[in-house]
Amino acid sequence: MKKIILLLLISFLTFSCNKKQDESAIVNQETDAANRVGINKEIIMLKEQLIKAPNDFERAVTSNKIAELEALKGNVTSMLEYSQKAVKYQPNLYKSRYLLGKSYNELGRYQDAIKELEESIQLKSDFAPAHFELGNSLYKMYNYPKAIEEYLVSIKFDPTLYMAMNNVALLYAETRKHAEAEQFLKKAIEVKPDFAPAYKNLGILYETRLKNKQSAIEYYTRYLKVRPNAPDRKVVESWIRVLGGAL
Amino acid sequence: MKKIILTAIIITALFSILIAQEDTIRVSIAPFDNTVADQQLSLSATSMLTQSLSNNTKMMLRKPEAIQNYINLLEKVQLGIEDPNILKGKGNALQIDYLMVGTIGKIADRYELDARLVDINTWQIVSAYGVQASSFNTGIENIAANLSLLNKKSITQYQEASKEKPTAGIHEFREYYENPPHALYCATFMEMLTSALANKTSTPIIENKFTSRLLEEKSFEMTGIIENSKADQIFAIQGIVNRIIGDIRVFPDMITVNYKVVNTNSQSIIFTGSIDVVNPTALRAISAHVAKIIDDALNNKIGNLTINTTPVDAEIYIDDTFAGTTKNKRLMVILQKGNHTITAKANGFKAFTCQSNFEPRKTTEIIIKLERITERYLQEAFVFESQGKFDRAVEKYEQFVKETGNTQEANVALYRMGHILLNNLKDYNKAKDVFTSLLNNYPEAFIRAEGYFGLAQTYLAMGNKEQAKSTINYLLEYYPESNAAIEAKAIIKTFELK
Repeated sequence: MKKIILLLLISFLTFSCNKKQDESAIVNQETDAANRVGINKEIIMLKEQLIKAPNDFERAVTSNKIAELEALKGNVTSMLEYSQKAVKYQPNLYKSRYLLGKSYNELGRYQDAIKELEESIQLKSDFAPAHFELGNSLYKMYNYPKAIEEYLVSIKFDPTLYMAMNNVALLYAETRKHAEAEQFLKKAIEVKPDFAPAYKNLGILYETRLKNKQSAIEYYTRYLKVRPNAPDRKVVESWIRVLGGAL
Repeated sequence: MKKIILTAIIITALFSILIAQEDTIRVSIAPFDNTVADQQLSLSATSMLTQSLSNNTKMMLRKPEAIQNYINLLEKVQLGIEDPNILKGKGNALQIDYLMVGTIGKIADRYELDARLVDINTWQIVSAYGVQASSFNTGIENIAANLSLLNKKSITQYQEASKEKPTAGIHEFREYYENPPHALYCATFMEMLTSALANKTSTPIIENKFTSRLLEEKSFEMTGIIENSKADQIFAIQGIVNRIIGDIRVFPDMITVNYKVVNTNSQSIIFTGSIDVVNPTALRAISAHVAKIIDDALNNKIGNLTINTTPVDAEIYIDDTFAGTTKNKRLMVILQKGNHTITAKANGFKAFTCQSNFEPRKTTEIIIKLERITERYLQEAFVFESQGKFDRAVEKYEQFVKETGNTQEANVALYRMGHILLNNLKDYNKAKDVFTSLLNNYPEAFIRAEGYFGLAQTYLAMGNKEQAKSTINYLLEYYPESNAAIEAKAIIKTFELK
């Protein structure tokens, strides 16, 4: 009997250990494989270039490129690290200042973000993404009037910046300027017809602020059409049903 | 006598029943959520598990029909129609202590099944199982086998042990790119991570079917930034200390999973991480890995640091990296455990550096009073310089730099010193070192341009035309609008450096 229990215990422990090993083996295998493809391959190549860079400017430019790719991946820690490096090597590159500001926004350091984004704008006043990102920082600091200003400037310099149109619309909605909100959301859809958040936001605007049930149903339905795999599909479907719409 | 014996037997029997009941897990199984198109699977999961556990003597299984009203309520909460708080504290009325919730997902032809036992009164997960299986039936059988091993004692022990620990809840994971031409992973990954966190870590986790519905869904969706929602506040009211959020970005050849932990009390991001994966079926293993990292960070790695400075707007560097300013009177940062170098700088004040040891889950408070720079050395240097006593001026500038460390004032002193060494003392080697040291401090653009100009002039004085030329070209290319660049252009003409 004792032997059987011992055997069972050993098998259980072996099984547990193997499972743990399997797990970390899979993670290692995946991380290695990911380092050999696409963006990561490019990042590794740039990191090698950074070591060999002949002067501060080259170091700054290469660091900036790495930060840009890390931003694409959403790796905030690395984006911050390399945009900080880029600014250190060359303090007057507007793109590095912008990426550093964006990193701070991602980390919730909005005061630091504002400082860097203002630097970026000082270096290149018509750089729309910096104005957009500054609008975001100001929004997070609940400074809605200034955020609206920055979003509008970003749209002025880049009339295709549909994300800024969406955000400015929502701030207009917050400040009860519903007609402006409606106008900017429709403009965002005009610029990018598959931009799903604008449809949902228009639906909410019509339902909760403008009390226009039919338009709300229309835009919720269009939202589900544009975002067929929407994670909130069931929820939005229930909104349509409550409003008396058919699915 | 007979009566006494009979009474004793009845009492003993009743007592035994009571004890047995105390050791029994009173549970019901809710219909599983389903991210796969086949809705029939949800009902199958519930019925298969109910059937499999019906003979388990350690469990008192209430059929789902018996708690149908509660299940309907749960569904309404899931749809955002009812407040999630309505789900709490219903245990006694329902005659159950735990509810089994679960989700069926599918990634690349493999079923991803997650089942979690939650305390019906608190929605804390007390046990979790996540399995990947090639067939639905195998997955459910696997979960049933694990469930049959459950016992009340271990659940109670787990709940007791986790009582004092800060809880965490997964709030949301978002697909970053709109309508990718492939399956969406966030919903399934969120389930995997919830199970992994609850199963493999010491952090008490509140069920995501509760936490993900804590906010009113009919709120506008900002883009490029997280909404100013009341999420942290709402989570904090529920007693959830850490809120986990994240996104998944799918590229043609890999998937990146990003995650953040937000402390709901301080409303600050305390931890971020990112991991890449090539094969989507590896997401289960990745979720376990991420769970371990988060748990390790929350329990063993992260300490809080509060820095108060005088003056109040000092810049703080931790291990030579800018960590923020104390503009709003103090700075709160989250640090890895161990020793860190803290440096505080403010214009007009001497830089202050100290070492501090941080312990996980503790707050270390540092109060720094910066000492105002006595401009005595600088003033003396200026006087000596104006009197033409250049040796003495350099000496005083050096003393000033040594005293102030890496500050804006020190950069001005270095710049002046370099010029004296170059133009007046003709000590070119030392001038080169001083300008190089100025540039290595990475000052702001204006001083930097002047530094390059000084260095170029030094090279020229040393007869090194090549270096002078390349330094001037660098200056002209990257600081074209500076005064130094305008002066450098004149030098080019004079010395025919083109």
